[in-house]
Amino acid sequence: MRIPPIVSLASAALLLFSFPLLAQTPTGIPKTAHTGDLTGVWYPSSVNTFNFIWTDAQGQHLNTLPLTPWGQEKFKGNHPIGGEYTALTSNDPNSECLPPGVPNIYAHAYPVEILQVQGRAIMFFEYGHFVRQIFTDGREHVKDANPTWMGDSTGKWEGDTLVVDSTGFNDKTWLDVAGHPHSEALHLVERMRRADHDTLMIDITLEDPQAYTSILKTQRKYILKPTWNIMEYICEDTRVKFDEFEKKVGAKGTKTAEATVESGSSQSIVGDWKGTITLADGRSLPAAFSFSESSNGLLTVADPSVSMNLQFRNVAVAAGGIVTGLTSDQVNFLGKLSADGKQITGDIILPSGTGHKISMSRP
Amino acid sequence: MKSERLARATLTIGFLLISLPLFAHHGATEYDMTKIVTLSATVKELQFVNPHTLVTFTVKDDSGKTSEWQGELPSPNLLSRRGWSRSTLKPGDQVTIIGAPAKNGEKGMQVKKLVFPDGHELPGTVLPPDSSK
Repeated sequence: MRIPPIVSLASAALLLFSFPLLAQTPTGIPKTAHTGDLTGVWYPSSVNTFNFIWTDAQGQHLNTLPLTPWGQEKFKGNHPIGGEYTALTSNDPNSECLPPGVPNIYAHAYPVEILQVQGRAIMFFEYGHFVRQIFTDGREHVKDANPTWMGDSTGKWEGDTLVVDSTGFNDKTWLDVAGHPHSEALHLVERMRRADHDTLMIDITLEDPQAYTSILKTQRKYILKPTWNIMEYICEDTRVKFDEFEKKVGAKGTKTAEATVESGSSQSIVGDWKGTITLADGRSLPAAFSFSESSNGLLTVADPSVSMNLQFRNVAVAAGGIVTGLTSDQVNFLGKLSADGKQITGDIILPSGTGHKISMSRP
Repeated sequence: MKSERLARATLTIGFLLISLPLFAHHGATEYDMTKIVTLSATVKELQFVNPHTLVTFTVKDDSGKTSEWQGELPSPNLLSRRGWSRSTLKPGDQVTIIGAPAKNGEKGMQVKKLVFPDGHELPGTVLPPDSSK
């Protein structure tokens, strides 16, 4: 059984912090001890993927989710952006500026501020300016709640982990940007904790017996941004006629793409280059780049912990020393050759959503 | 002015480029990610308004003919945290714009990066890495 390292690490950390800290009030009503501090502005980590990576209860990666017949029917009717659907033809409820619900809100690359006030933790999302109140005063869920977009959330502290329990969602949102559905029976448990001072981990476990035959888990990572504040974001602002642009570039065309590439530069990068690659997670490793006369470039990482061989084709040096290249798997290389021709710096952009930075010089 | 540019350039160095779609409303399916276009642009207009940023610019081809292009970018909120402001691109500015062109051949693109005449760069549709904090 393959357990993603990040999940097993999280499980180990959770075991360490799983002691409950419940204090009794004079009235006998359990009052949660306020022992953790998650306050701050948090930004999604670059290791997060846009589409959630779902696992089962044991942390086993799920390629297809265990949908019930009801769930399958709903899923068939959801047309997420990607594949044959564009922003114009997709029926993603996000496109209407409606709240994305939870956990879908974690897919969006905007910061969230967590505020802790007496009896509540408040998540103030920049994306759409949606607000989520998590009641930590010991109350129960609202009985027979009228379903809402962001649900009814209660929280209790277990050590420095805030355990958030949510129900009362409507079924108008999708679980994720892949269009997986959920019903009003959605029950979400999120364990939010600082893995270190600057890192917030949210372990998400959900059950929805109407839509799924077993529980689903996923995880999101956020990075503290001490100098940031939540900025205004008005989804409904239509001053930019983006739809018109969308119609232009999204329409089925018969023309072939006009690759108006700049005339090439006389600078040559053919030969061997050596330097470093800085991975999205911050690791810096030795790497080599070799460019051939036939516009190919091979990037190799010389470290046993990483297996990376990227074969770029159509490598071109444009005016101003701008170097571009692509692999057959749609990995982009966007680089720059220094004026003296001795250094190449640039970015490796993977379609999966991770990227790396390289810095190379002639040996 | 010079120090501001230097600050912006220094900021850019810290960023890794990530191809995450940054707005749910507008995925990347319209663009041909197997192509990169590098255009010498003359800026016509920067619309720096949430939820989407749009830059309109003209490009001269080898025969001297001018055509108008548009490029989409993430929201001003995201861009402003990566060194952009509403005056980053002013009408008449010369800048190299790199991105993925529309599949249907229309003159539209998803902007991945800007390179200014002095060599400094600004990221477009990218996500700052953890290491940039």
